[in-house]
Amino acid sequence: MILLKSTDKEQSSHIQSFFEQKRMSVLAEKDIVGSVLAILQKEIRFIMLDCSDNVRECTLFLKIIQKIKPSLGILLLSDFEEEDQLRKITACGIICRLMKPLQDEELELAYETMQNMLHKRN
Amino acid sequence: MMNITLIISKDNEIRKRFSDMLQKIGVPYIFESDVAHALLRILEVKFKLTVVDLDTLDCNPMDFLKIIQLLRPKLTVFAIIDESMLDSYQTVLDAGAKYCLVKSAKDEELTGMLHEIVSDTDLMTLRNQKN
Repeated sequence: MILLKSTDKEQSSHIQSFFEQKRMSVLAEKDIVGSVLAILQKEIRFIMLDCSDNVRECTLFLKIIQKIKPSLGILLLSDFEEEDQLRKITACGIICRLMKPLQDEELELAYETMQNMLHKRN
Repeated sequence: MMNITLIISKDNEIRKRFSDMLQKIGVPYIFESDVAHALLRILEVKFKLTVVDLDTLDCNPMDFLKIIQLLRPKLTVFAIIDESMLDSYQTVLDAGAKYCLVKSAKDEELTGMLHEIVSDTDLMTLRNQKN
């Protein structure tokens, strides 16, 4: 299952329908507490984390994930290119960085990355 | 386990009341105001006690309590609720809080309770160390 943490409704529904077509379930959460509870209670394998509106909150969220489930694959979504902003997000486990707005080609790349990671683990 | 209490509240009055009370009984404390920083603290430090002001949390308070319960089942949670949340008293306890009191409770009552919790945890720690 993929956990999608984003406040962007339009992108969220696009991502959800894309992955559902690939038979992967997506759980959408907006805040940190809902997301952490989902990570602890459900079988989450990947997190798609949209850090467009709050880089600071994302950094904190990534630190929390590293402590509770460092093995999760993290895909970072953003709508900014500035390296200094991205550099603030210093976390291991980031397997892919994607620029918004996401097109199907980028989501395909994200899907392949997830599949590769799953195969490596098995 | 460290003898430090984590106070999670955005309300300066609550912060002051609890820090004064903890000071009186000689228990050190630290503050956090938002849930993300609080969760990180809980993961980094093995607190004995956390005082959570449920009224000022910027999230679903029951979910927050459930997370604490899942991450640190031995951490004693003292929940502070507003009068408007009285109906949720049992839900708060079910979600993982060991104690629950309304904000309007008298300082003497709160200090007594805190003292009891801290002493109880000390006894439990001693018992666990002996076993």
